Amino acid sequence: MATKSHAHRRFVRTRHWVTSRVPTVIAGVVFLVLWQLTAMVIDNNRIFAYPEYTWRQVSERSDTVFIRIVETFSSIAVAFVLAVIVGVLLGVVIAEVYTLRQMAMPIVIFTYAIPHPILAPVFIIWFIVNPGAEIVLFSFTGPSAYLLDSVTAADAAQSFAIDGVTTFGAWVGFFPVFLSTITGMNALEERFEQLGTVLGATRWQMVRYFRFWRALPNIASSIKATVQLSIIGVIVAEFIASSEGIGYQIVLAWKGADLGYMFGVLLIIMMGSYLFYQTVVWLLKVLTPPGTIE
Amino acid sequence: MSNETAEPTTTSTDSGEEAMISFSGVDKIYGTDATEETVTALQDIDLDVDAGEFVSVVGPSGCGKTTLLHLAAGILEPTDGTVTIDGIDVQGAEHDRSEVGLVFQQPVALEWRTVKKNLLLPVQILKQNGAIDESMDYYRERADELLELVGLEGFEDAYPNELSGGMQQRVTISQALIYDPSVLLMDEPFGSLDAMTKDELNLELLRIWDETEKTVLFITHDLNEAVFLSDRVIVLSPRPGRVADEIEIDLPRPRTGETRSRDRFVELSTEVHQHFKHQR
Amino acid sequence: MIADTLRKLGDRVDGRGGVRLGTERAKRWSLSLLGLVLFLGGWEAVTRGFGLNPQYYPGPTDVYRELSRIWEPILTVLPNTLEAAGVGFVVALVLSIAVAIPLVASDRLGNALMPFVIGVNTVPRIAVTPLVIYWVGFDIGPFDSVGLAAANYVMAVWVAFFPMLIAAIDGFRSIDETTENMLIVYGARTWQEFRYVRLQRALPFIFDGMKTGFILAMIGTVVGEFVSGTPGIGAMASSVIRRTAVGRAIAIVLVLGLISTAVVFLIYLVESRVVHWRESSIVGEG
Ligand SMILES: Nc1ncnc2c1ncn2[C@@H]1O[C@H](COP(=O)(O)OP(=O)(O)O)[C@@H](O)[C@H]1O
Ligand SMILES: [Mg+2]
Repeated sequence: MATKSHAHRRFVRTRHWVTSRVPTVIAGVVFLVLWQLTAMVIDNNRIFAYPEYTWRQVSERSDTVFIRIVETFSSIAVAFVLAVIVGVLLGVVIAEVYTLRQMAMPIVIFTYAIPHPILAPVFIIWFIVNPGAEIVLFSFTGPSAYLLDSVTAADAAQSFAIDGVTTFGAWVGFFPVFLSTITGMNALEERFEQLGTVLGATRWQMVRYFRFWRALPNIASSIKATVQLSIIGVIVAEFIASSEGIGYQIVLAWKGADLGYMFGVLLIIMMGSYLFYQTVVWLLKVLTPPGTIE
Repeated sequence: MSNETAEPTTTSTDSGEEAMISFSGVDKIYGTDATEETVTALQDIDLDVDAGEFVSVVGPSGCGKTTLLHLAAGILEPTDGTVTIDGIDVQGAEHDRSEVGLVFQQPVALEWRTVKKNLLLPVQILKQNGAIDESMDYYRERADELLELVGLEGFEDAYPNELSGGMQQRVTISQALIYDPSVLLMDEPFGSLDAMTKDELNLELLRIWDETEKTVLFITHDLNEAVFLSDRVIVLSPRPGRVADEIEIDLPRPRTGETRSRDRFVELSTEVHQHFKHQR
Repeated sequence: MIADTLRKLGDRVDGRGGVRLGTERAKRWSLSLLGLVLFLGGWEAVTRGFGLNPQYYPGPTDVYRELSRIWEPILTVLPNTLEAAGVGFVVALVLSIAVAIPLVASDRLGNALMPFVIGVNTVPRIAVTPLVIYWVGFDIGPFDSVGLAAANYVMAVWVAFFPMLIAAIDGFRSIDETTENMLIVYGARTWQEFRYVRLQRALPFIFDGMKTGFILAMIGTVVGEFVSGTPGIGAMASSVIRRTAVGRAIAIVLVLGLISTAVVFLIYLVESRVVHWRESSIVGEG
C-alpha cells in the first residue's frame, strides 16, 4: 500500500516534470518553423540563412567548432569559479570591516557602472606583455580528439588556465556574488548577534558560524547572475580582443560574410550558454541546503 | 476526525423572508489540480444571516473561517452549493459589488495614497464601473465623516506608513464602509492588535453597526470577542469545517465595557468555551 | 540584491560604534574620500615603485595626461555614442513596459512567452553584434539614412530590452494576495488593477531596471562602435587598443564610467522623487 502510493507519487512527479517541459519543446519547434518560414520569405542565404544551409556550413567545420566550444566553456568554467571565490572572499572582508566598506563604496559603484567590454582588450594586453602571469591549472586533450577522426590530440590540446579571457570573465561576473555576500552577511538578525555576544564568540567565529550561513542564500541566488555574466565576459573577450574560442568564430564568419556559419555559431553559443546556466542552477539546488534556492 | 457527535444545525429564517447572506449546501475543496493533494476546507455549510444581524464565526485556526468569508465576498468559488447575498448568487453577473464590504485580516491601504485617497479608492473603482451613483463630492464629504467616526480626523493627508497598526486597521474598516454596503464581512479584523486597542475598536464597531444597521459576518478566534459582539455565534469544527453548533447571545444592547462583567456574559462565554473543548 | 547591498553599504549595519546621524554622514563621506585617495595613491605608488612601463601599466597621472590629450576628440565623438545609447535606452524602456503589460494581464500569454523571455535573457546577447552590423550593412529598409551607425542603436535596444522587460514583469506581478482580493471585492477590471495598484507597485522595479538598462544600452552601443568602427567612443577605444595604448584605453573607460554613473545617479534622483513612499537605492538589480 505504502509503496504503491510512493510509486504513484513518483509517477505524478515525473508526469509533472514532463508536462512542465512541454512549453520548452513547443517553443523550440515554433522557433524552427519561424526560422524556416522567414528564410523562405527572404530566400537568400546571404541575407538570412536557411536552417538546412546553416547546418551544412557548421557541419563542414564541425571539428573546429567542437574544439572551440570546449575551449570557450573551459574558460567560462574557470572564469565562473574564479568570480565566485574572489567575490565571496572579498565580500567577507568588506562586510566585516566597516571602514573598508565605506572607503570602497564609491569605487565599487563606479566600476559597476563601467561599460565593461572596453576593458576586455586591456586584460588581454596585460597577459600578452607579461606571459609569465598566465597560470595553467590543468591541461587535457579535448573530447574532440576521441570523437572525431579528423582531430589529432595536438589539435585538441586544451587547458583550464587563468589568462586574459578568464580573468576578464571573472571580473565581469564577480560583482553579483561580491555584493550579495556583503548584503547577506550584514542581514544577520540582531538576536544572533546577541547570542554571539552572550557566548563570547570571536569575530571569526561569528563569521564562521553565523554570518556566512546567513549569506549563503543570497550568494546562491546571486550565482545565477554570476553565471550569466561570466559567460558574457568570456564571449565578449573572445570576440572583441582575442583569437580564441567560439566567440572569435563569430568574427571569422562575419569577416568571411559566411552567414550560415555565423547563424550556426551564434545558435551554438546561445544553446551552450543556456545549458551551462541550467546545469549550474541545478548543481546549486543539489549542493546547497534545501530551500536556499527557490 | 469525523464529526458525528454534533448534528449539523441548519439555520434558516422563520418565514419565507430571504436571508441577507445565505450559504446553502456549500463545499469548498482546495487543490483539485491533479498534482496536488486536496484539502476539504468546508463541507455542507448551510448558514443564513438575517438583515441587520451580527453573526460571529469562531473555530480553531485552519478550520476554514477565512475560506467561508471569501466565499461570501465572491473571492472564492464554492466547489459545490451556492452563496447568495440578498438573494443573488455572488458568482453571478448580477451580484452587486457595492452591497458588500470586506474588512481584511491585514491592512490593505496602498502605501502611495494618503489616508483619504485610500478611502476613496473603492469609490473610484465602483463608480467607474457603474456600481454606485452618488457624486464624487458626496463621497469626499462622507470620507471626512467616516474618518471622524473612526477617530482619524486630522490624518486625512497622512500616508499609511505613518500610522500605527490600530490606525491602519481603522482605515481598512472605513474603506469597507465608505460606499455604504449593507453587508459587512470582517476577517479577524482586530486579530493583530493589542488587547486594549482591540476592546476600544470593538466598542467602536458596535457603535457603527448600531448607527448604520448593517448585516455583519464577523470572523474571530477570540471567543470572548465573539460573545461580546454578536447576536449569534457559529462554531466551526476543524477539518473539514462544518457548522458544529450555534449559540444565541441574548445579552442586552447597547453593550458596553461593563457587559463583560455580567453573569450572563460569563455564562455564555463558558458555554462557547465548553463547546470548543468538546470539539477537540 | 545589488540594490539592497548598496543601500546597506551606506549604512552602519553591524551596530558597532553608535554615532549620531550628522557626524555619521560626515564620517562616511570622509571615509569614501579617503578610500579614493588611498586607491589612487596606491596605484600610482605601485606603477612608480616597480618602474612599470606606462604604455602597458599606466598610473593615475599617466591616465590623466592621456585623458587631457584625447579630451577634444572624445568631445567630438561623444554625442554619437550618447545619442545611440540614449535613444536605444528610451526605446527599450517604452517597449519593455508596453510588452510587460499584456504578458502580466493575460496569464495564458505570460505562460506561453515567459520561457522564451527568460531563455533569451540568459544568453549572451552581445554576441550577435557582428550579425547586426552585417545586416545593417546591406543598406536595406529604415537603416538607409543612418548607415552602419544604425547597428549601434539596434544593439543598445537589443541588449537593454530583456532585463528591463523582466524587471517590469516582476514589478507588475508584485501584488500581494490581500490586495488582489481587495480588487476582486471591488469588482476592479484589469485596467483598473494596473491603473491603481500594479503600476505603482512596478515603479521601483522599473527604476531598478532602468539603472541596469542604461549601463547595458551603453555596452550595446560601445561594442557596436568597437566592432563596426562607426565614429564614437567605442571605435576610438578600438583604435587606441590596436596601438596598445592602455593608458588611453583606461582614460576612455574613465569617461564612460563617469557618464554611466552620472546617469544612474540621475535615475536614482528621479526615482526617490517619484517613488516617495519607499526608500530608493543607487544601483538597481544586477
Ligand atoms: N489557497 C489554498 N490552497 C490550498 N489549501 C488552502 C488554501 N487556502 C486555505 N487552505 C487550507 O484550507 C483550510 C482552511 O483555511 P482558512 O480558511 O484560511 O482557515 P482559517 O481562516 O480558519 O484559519 C486550511 O487547512 C488551509 O491549509
Ligand atoms: Mg484566517
